[in-house]
Amino acid sequence: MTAALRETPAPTNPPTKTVTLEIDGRTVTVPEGTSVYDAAKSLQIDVPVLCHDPRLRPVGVCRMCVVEIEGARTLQASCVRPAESGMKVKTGSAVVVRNRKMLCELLMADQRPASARDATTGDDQLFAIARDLGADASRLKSVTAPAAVHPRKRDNSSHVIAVDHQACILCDRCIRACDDVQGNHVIGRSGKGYGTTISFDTDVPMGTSTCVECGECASVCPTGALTNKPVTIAMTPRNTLKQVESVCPYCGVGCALKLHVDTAANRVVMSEGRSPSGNDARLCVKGRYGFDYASHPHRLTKPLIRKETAYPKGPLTATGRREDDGTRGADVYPDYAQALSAFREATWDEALDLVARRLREARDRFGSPAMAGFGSAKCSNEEAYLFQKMVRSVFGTNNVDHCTRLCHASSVAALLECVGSGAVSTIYRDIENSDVAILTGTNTTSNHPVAATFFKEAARKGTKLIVIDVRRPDIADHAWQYVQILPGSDVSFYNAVMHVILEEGLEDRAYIEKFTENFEALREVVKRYTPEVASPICGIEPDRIRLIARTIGAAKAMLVFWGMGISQHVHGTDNARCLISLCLVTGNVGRPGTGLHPLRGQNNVQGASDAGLIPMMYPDYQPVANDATREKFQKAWGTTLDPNPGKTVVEISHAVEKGTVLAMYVMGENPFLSDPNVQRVRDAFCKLDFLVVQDIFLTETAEVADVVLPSTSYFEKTGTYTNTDRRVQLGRPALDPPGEARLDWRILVDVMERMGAKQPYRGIEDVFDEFVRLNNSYANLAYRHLGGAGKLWPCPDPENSEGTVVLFGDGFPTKSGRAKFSPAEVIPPAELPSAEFPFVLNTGRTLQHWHTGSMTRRAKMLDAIEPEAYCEMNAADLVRLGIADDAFVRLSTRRNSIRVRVRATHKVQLGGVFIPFHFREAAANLLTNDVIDPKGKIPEFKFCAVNVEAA
Amino acid sequence: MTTTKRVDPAELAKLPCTGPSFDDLRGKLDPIVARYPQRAAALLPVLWVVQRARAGWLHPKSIREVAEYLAVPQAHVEGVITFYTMFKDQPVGRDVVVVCKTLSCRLRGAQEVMDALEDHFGIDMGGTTKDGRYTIETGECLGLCDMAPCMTIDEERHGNLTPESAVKTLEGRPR
Repeated sequence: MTAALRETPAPTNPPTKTVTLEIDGRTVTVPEGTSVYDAAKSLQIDVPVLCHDPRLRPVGVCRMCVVEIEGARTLQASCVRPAESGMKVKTGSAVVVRNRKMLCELLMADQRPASARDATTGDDQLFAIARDLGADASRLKSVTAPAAVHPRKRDNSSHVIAVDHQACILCDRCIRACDDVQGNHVIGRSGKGYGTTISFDTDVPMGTSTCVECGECASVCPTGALTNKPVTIAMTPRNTLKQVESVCPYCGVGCALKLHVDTAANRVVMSEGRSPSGNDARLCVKGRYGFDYASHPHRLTKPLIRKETAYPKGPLTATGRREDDGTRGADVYPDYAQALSAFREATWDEALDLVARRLREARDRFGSPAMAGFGSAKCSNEEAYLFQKMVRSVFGTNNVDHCTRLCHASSVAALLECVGSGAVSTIYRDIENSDVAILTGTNTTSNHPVAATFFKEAARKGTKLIVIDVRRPDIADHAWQYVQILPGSDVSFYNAVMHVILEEGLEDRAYIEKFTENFEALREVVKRYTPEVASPICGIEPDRIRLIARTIGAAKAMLVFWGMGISQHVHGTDNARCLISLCLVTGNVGRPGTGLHPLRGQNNVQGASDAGLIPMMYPDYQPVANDATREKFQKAWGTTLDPNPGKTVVEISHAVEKGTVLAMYVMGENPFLSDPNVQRVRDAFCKLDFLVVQDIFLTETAEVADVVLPSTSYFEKTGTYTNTDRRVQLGRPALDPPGEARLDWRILVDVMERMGAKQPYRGIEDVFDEFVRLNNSYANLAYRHLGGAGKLWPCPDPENSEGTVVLFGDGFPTKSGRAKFSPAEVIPPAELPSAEFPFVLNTGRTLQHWHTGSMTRRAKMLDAIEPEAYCEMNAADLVRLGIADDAFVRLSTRRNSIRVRVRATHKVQLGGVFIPFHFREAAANLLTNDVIDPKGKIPEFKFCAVNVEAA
Repeated sequence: MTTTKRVDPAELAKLPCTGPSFDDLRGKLDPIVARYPQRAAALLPVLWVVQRARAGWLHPKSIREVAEYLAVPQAHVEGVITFYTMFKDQPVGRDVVVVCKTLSCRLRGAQEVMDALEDHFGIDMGGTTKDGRYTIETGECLGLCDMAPCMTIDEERHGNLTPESAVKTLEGRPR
């Protein structure tokens, strides 16, 4: 391990002051500031409480937790009363119990006879307290409001949450959860006195409010006021279900969650955040409600072999969506049966033999360079490791890549070049230590919603967020400055910021001298980028550039987060180089609250890259072209390896088109929707001599496969996943695989063995151990460490430590130990708008959907919330074109055209079009340009010229 | 007697939001905001200006615009305007009449005044006359106990009312 990767020392805490008090006759010593409630809890004394939750700021409004404190004038709410030395507390004296009972009866008098919470999750806290106290509200019914006569309203408008105002006790938990935990500020109170209710926005139904359906309110509600609606089967009390601690299958934030499983029905019933963990039990709509795709009837349950009659391969089956009758989101997969009709079911033996025989023949006939594989960032570290091992050691080629190429390849290229490591230098929650944070090219509230909650929290506590994006992201609501630069102008903006920093002497001289090299080259380049020069390019006034530069220059700790808006350009590597330079020049790397954090898009982008799903690198970024490294892997795998770096995603597709790659193995990827200029990819793939797809659904790509191998979903298997923080976490199985679907790692081992390469694994854990042996960054890690909150690699002492939070505190893992400035000049985007194609097309994601939608569009709730393809344009542009909001438009580029609904918005700049790429029926990537960044080989998803017409 | 129907909050957005555009109001609002160290602190006076300029009530659009202008959540504005009785989240008549219902006025015949107004205009307290001229509601102490029973019509004060004089006052004002 290099010096740079040494663990950061824990901050030395000042000695804690303590107080000693007596509770129910027992003495306890607690840190000063501890509440009486928590002090009692430390003695295992349970004080009943309604408004308090450990994750929320205590407010003491419910008065249920009152205790008797000797000498106090009245009973005290223990959740807000700090413990004091010498205090004598009684938590269950007669007066306390009488008080609680009265209070409980008053609350129960307004309740309906049965609790909706008891009927679902079985954990209504008010009803439980009433049972414990024997509180009988019947004597009060006649004096309270006639709840039975004029009950308060129910609100079933939300897709995921049922609201019953009659059950609400105004404990404020949901309001604090929405404000303080999630930072969404949707819930408030309406009215005053007895008529007060919780309300959404301006007291509109929850389903029409600005609620993003994260479910945090329902998770903290103590009564039947806010309850989850069933996602798969009817909700049953949690004590009737099996609990499985796992990790969310969606984005790179990698939230730790707990699945509640009905084992008899083989269904996940409910998902909850868990703590302690990186996400502190927070979840978003995908993590909380998006788990049911695993049980979708479209799951593949038997191996499929293409019928002889289904050659030659034709176009994709039609989606059959009824576009013109006004029904939104009518089933987009009505032709699944038709798609399946091209295949016949086969036994595993037949399918695996066929796959092994055809791949072997292809390798022997066309040679190893004609073979290629796409792995996936949705698979585990073990599966990614095995997949690249199969392609390298059995297919004999380095033509193995995955969707990282489409998201952060340029960021990783720049990071490896400049700081010697492609991983984040600190975790996302380190923002709590930053006084300034840049969020650029990231729509965090949609794509990393739980990370966004921590960013919003930091902003509330004083961190200045500088949000830079061509399309106004919702996190801009929380920003100190929102900077709407012109599309593709990133380099000019950051160069101008650095120009001001250097001109005004705001750089960190000492840091530059001690830890960096090539500084003069940067100075030379940015010298020319005065704010006045950059302003017309990036569209930001010179004075604002100066203001931002000065704020960054004055920051004690600045952290930079970025996403696809930076990376998916022909100048993506240059964009990332600028961000790295900005951190280095101001000395903002290697300390708490500083550093570089490219937010990873998928659950295991970091891990799949660490595991070597990269054509030029073995696991742990060890170059394939290096003889010593290759020798190590040849020895470990007992085979000869190709010394030539392989092709990247887009290069492989182009090679398939040219006929130089002829056989492909695709595991969990769906290039038919995810790749740029996708018609070209589809046409090319039809020409493959042999294509095998291993997936859980018959994806668009699988439709043209020769063999489809049904594999297991995230919820059915054990494996480790590395999130955007470098946090390695263990996913555990919750469900049995459907039908004959088989574990992915077993399928890979089966194929390798049938191709003649014997594998040594007794179980999945052996695969992880082999991976760890060949990957220094993961050294010392084993399954037994990876439950709970997981471990942050590098983790020299997993028995006692969470791992390394901040990297590069004392230098960089480069040859010289220094980081290198790599200055960048402005390069225009590859395809500029013209008279024929006057708009700029930008692609991205939505909150509810994920990647090619193969999972989220089969998740009932997510699909119900966002059922249909759409694009967004500036309202003024639509007025100018005479197109109404919500009408259909035709978007055309030099490559293709699609018909899709348009939404008017002010988030998109004039002259811009934004389109999410999840939707098969209007695939954004039919339009995108497959030109790539020369260094990162990432396609320019974020910029191409497009024309818009009414349709 | 008709029961006054409040418009369902979910339906309010369908009503027209009359009055000047928010951009036209900024000239009045910016100086108010400038008086406070934080934008959010200007919420009450800003709401008051917007309510007066826009037909005497706060349309959901007004709430959204004020929330955005002051960078506070809509839900927070909703909480404020439903707490303070002088903010209206429902359409009101051209003038708002408040009849005091607190102790001094009650002792001096406020109930009879209310009954007379209800009978005369055919509405419940809180309702709006059919011609849209008055919204008549009850309120807590108006600080005019020396001339109880009393009422206010917008910012005018009227005291020593009798059932007859109350009706006459309202009917006698220029239309």
